[in-house]
Amino acid sequence: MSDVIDASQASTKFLISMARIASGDQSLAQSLDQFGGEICRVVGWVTYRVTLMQEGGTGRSDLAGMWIEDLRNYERELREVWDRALSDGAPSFVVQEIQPQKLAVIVIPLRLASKAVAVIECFTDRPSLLEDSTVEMIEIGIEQIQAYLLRKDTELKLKKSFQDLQETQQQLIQSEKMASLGTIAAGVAHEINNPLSFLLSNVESLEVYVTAFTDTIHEYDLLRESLDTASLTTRSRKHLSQVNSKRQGKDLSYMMSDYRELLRESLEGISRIRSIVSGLKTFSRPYDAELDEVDVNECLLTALRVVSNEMRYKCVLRKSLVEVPPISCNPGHLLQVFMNILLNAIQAIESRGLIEVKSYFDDYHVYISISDNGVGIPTDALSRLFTPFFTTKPAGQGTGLGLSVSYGIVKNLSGSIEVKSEPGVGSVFTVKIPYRKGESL
Amino acid sequence: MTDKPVVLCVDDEPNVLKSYRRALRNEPYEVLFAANAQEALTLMQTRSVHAVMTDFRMPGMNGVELLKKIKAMSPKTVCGILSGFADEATVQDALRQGDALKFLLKPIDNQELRKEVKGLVSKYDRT
Repeated sequence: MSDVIDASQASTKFLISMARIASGDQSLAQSLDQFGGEICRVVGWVTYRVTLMQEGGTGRSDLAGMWIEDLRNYERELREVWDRALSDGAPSFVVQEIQPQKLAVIVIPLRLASKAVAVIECFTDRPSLLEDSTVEMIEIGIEQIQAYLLRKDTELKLKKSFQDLQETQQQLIQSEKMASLGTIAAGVAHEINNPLSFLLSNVESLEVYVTAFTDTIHEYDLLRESLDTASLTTRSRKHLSQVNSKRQGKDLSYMMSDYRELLRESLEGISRIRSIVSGLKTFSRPYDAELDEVDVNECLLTALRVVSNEMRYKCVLRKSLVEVPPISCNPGHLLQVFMNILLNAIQAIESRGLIEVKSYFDDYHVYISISDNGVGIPTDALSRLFTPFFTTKPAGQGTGLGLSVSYGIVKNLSGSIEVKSEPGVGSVFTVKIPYRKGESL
Repeated sequence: MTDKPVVLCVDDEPNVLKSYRRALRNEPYEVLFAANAQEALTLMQTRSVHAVMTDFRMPGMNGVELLKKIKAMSPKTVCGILSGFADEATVQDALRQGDALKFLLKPIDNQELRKEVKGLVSKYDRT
């Protein structure tokens, strides 16, 4: 009678423990280890071991509890039991005496979608026949573990879907933002162009006028100096003294020496506005009728040539370029993309550093990566990297449009630009462009 | 009747036309100005014009349409068109069809303007 009561208490305890583990918060490996322990306990055996079969290798826990000596001597026999347990059509677990009266093993395979995910082994050095109730316990235990594995897997898949969804949503929002920015940019560029046009023309005309004034004043100065004041009429003398006081008072000498620089700086300002407008135009219209079959390696090498001067004293260049399929795009635009990223990389390096360019491809895309070991990009800047006018350069340097224009160009080719960066370590920009026409991903 | 070549500038912005006036002040041409396509065409009915420089985007008739009309009424006139966008499809068509000889990107500086006008005038066939 007490046996029956003990047995039912044991089974209740077992079920409660298994349920507790299944609902726990710990990792998969920890749960499986605890499951293994419970089964070993309810079977009344000495020790157990859990083996995890995962992508990337097998992980096996140590034998828990007491050591069983010379387990290694039974590799072959254990392997046979494993094969039986893991083969299709095998029972839910296999029990085997390996060394008669000396060593027995229970091998419990755990599957997910008919693939073995883990194996629990229980060992004893005092083998005896398993009772029916014990077998029943093991089977119930296995059912519980299988249910737990299925739940865990579903949770993982759900989490991943959710993440994917969030990412897609972010990308959509970003696209929309860029699209409306593009429209605004086009409008702004157009509006600025006209006044910019006559501003430029007028400043140039102004230079011509002021040079004429200055040259004439020089002549008048010479005239002034050559005058014999004694022979002047009163009226002339009065005008002469007014000329002199105006000349000094209005500080004409300073103006005459400064005006060229003044106009030059003004033209520089206009030139900067021109680049911004030009950047805005490319940003808003990254498409171009002029498409060509472009070898990205050639384009990259051209870009490197163009920026070689900036690179020369600061950076060592390492290239690993492989032959890649050609891409249908506008070569000038792609050149812009590479130049933008390269210039940023060069700028990120403070005194001396390394820039590495790589090209490679897979079934659908060509990849170009440009990496540097410069200052890196802080996390808060990373999310704003492709925002127009976002720049970390000091005022007056750069338009802050380079990366946003590049983003537009690459996006228009159905590609993407990915950035990985660690402050103090460096950054990697990877441009990814599909090359098979008509197959979109 | 003047011997100087006649150049016509067309733009809807008065400030732009004035800046052209300043830039072409000392050039050996008689420079005429029109604020829109209609004015330009009316002017050309009474004057023979050697070269035309016109803006593309104008209210009413745009620069490309204007050039088509000019080609019809005065085929010898050499024409250039100014635009802010290099890849504007309509402008490209005008170049292809020969209505415009030259395309110029805005903004244009004085030196370039003078050079381009000189080029257009030189292409005028005086025979």
